[in-house]
Amino acid sequence: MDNIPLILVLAIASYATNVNYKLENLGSKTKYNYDQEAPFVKEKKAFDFGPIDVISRQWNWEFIYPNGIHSSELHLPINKRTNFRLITDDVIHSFYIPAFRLKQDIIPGSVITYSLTPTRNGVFRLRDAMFSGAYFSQNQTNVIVESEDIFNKWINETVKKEPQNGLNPAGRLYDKRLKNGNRGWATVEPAPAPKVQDVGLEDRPHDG
Amino acid sequence: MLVRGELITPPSDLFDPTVYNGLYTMHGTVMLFLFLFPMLSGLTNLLVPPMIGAPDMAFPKLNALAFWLVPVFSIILLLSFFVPGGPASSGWWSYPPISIQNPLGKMINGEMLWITAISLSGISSIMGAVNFVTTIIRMRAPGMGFFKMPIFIWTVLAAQLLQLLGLPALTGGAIMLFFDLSFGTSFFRIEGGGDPVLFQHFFWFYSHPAVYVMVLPVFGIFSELFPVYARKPLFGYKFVAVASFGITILSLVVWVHHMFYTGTPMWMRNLFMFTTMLIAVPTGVKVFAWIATLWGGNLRLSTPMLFCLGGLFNFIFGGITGVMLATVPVDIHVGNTYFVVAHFHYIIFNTIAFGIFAGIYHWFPKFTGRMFYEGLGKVHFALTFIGATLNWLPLHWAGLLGMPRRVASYDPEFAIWNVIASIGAFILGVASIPFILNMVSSWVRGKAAPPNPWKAIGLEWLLPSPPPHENFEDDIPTVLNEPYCYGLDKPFVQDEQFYIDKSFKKH
Amino acid sequence: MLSDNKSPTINHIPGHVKHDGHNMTGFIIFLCSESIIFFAFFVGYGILKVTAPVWYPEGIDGIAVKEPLINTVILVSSSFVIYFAEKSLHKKNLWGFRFIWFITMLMGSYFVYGQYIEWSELSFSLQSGVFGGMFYLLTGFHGLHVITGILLMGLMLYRSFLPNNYKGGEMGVESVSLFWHFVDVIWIILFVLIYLWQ
Ligand code: HEM
Ligand SMILES: [Cu+2]
Repeated sequence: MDNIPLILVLAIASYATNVNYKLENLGSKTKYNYDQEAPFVKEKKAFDFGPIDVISRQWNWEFIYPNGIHSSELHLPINKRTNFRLITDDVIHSFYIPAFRLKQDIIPGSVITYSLTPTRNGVFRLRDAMFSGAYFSQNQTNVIVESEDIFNKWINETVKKEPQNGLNPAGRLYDKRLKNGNRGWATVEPAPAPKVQDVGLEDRPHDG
Repeated sequence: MLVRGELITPPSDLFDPTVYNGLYTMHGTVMLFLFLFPMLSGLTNLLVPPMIGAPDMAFPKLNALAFWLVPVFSIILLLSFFVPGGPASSGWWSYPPISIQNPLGKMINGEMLWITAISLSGISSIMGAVNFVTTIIRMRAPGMGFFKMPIFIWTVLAAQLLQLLGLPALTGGAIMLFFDLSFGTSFFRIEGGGDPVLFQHFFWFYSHPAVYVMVLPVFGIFSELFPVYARKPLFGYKFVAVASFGITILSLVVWVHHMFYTGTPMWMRNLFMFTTMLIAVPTGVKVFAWIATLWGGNLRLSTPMLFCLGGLFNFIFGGITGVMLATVPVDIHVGNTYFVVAHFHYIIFNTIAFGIFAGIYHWFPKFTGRMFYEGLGKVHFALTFIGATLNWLPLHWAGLLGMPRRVASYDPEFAIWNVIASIGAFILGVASIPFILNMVSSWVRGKAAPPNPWKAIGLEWLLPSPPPHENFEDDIPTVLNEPYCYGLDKPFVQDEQFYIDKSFKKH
Repeated sequence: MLSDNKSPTINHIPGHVKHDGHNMTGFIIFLCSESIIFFAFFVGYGILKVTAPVWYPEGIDGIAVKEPLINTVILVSSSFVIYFAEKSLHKKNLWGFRFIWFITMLMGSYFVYGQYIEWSELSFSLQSGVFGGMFYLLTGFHGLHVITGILLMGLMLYRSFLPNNYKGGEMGVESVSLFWHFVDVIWIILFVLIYLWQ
């Protein structure tokens, strides 16, 4: 009778260990010298697409595709295991897509490789989940999961576009704050908007 | 309240997000270090000597020093509201690099005052812990072997040992953080090759045990009160006592469950998932023992008992969400969302604060010599329970839907849960009115309290109310049996009647 | 139940017995706790040393061991010396105690002096990357303990001239001596970590 909780929790833990090995999202974490560029770390496990560089800043997101596209939103092909390199230069952020039930912190000074397979079409929110300062709650963007055809079309069309300023709601709010006399407590200045070929849509209706 | 005021509507419209960040950081810090910890050590200070029959703590001067440090660091912390740039605003974790960004570049800044205050609070706690442990080990009444100590004393011992073992790690981390912030070192700064995640290990190595430092004495209070108000011996006294140390030991090896998604390798995550799950076992032992104690008991639903029952109910709930959080794949989703906020408020407010309220009501007559008003107490309980439930229960859903914690604004889909929570917070605010009213007016002109109004067994109840300055002075009872022999016709101490008679005499 | 036929106070232990060992108990508990701060620093040092992408500051590929080794020998032997001081006190040889105790203080001071010389000759600072920070943090924090130890010894030396000082036992001297052994053991670990493990 006294053993019931023990058995119960061990059963949960064993099952969860299994799930962990099935998902295997986290690849490797490689520290690098801050003076240098983030090194290219090859993912050992198999994947179908990628790696996409995910760069998180105080406070915007930028995604760089293998063919050189820079984008403010994350487009993913459905049912393909996609590999990412998670990078940040300032503080810790977190790559959190609630609809995917997945989250991984992004640590300055390290490159973290990460893989996942989206299985449903739609538009989902990507939210920074590790507190990152003043405009932390604005550090969000969209993840768009689409069929392979549409995805490929997006890739081929976007690569031809000219880069321009991408999503940067924090920058806008900060400008407003400056205009109102810079009241409030201290904050670092927001990073400038990334230069991207696909600027995305800030309040795109989302499914989750 | 302000925090909830901001969150009642999705956009951040009450004030600038930087202000929100500073406020929530200070909220967490003040509640833990200026409120709960001092509250608990005050209560422990009051209770330990009479409960073990000691005249005072082992080192009264050290005790006074530890006590006076509390206002000192409180003032330092509160002063940080007035320095340029505002108070610390990187959460009570104060993770680098965000905590060492120091946007204004000034030497004196909110974060620096924050670290100073936390370190002083740590020093005060260590002094307190040395004192408590020494007192309990060396100054017990004759005959009070370890297995005759009240459970509250067991839990205090377990909790204070945990302070001694864990707190220095945080102090070490805080010193390094301070150097990084103020003296340009790079322990946690990547620019010089440091590692920000190292701080998280230091932090959680202590701060996970810290939650047990707070909850263990509350387990003690539950274990004291349930037998009194159920008129039954505590079920499985020895198991409950030893389980406290099971918790102490295990809670030193579970800290990585706060870091499941920071890049922690798979084997480590699985390992710490298992250890975290194991800690549910001694905790479960206690819960079962309490329920078995209540089972078929002759329950007296007075205010302290209501708070205990409410606290136990909430603790079971918070324990279940705790096990959910310990499950890596679940935590990967709900970690750092409002689900975690809901989980630990279920523990910290709905269990620990409930337990403290129960303790305050239970021992109020003993230490003030006055009875409180039962009616007001019940109103206080009802409002607190309703407010707390409304406040924290809905936030589980917000978290499950993916609302990150620490946001100053949020997407409209989370609005409903936040509105309910804000109403709950408001009720909680109202709930404090009958409490304060009750305490003040009954202290001033309540009915005089007899030495043992609840017919409880324990050394402190053999003393007059309020106890004389040196408790039993030089006539300390000799303990014969284990505590909680309700209805068993076993006297707790030798010559019980003599002490009872004595406790009625005015001193 | 017993009280009817016995006079109540007879079997009550009189007096809150003065437990002499309190201070020592408290002090030992404190030292255990204090050692955990050092332990935390050591673990931090180990982890950073193994994982940091850059360790030594630019232009440095190690630090000299010789002078610190002399320093180490002196500090470690002072632990034996203080033991003899304590022994003299037990034998009520007060002047012998004062003399040997003073020698311990001198040895401790020499250690601090050696540390100071070493610091002033180093070409890197607290701000020179993780190693710089760690080096000064560890040696500095330990140095503070050494200085505290010397000051406490001075206090004990002064007290030894007060009349009736040892009426209540030799707790002060014993605690300081324990502290000194503690400082010593910490140094040995520190020496191994910083100087030998390069
Ligand atoms: C017994 C009293 C307990 C207390 C006082 C307590 C307290 C806390 C606190 C304060 C946090 C939040 C830390 C933060 O993120 O700021 C937390 C998170 C957590 N608790 Fe508990 N908890 C208790 C019981 C449990 C139990 C029984 C378990 C599991 C068996 C558990 C597992 C967790 C986990 C895994 C987290 C981390 C969530 C995350 O940050 O992602 N807790 N707990
Ligand atoms: Cu924890």
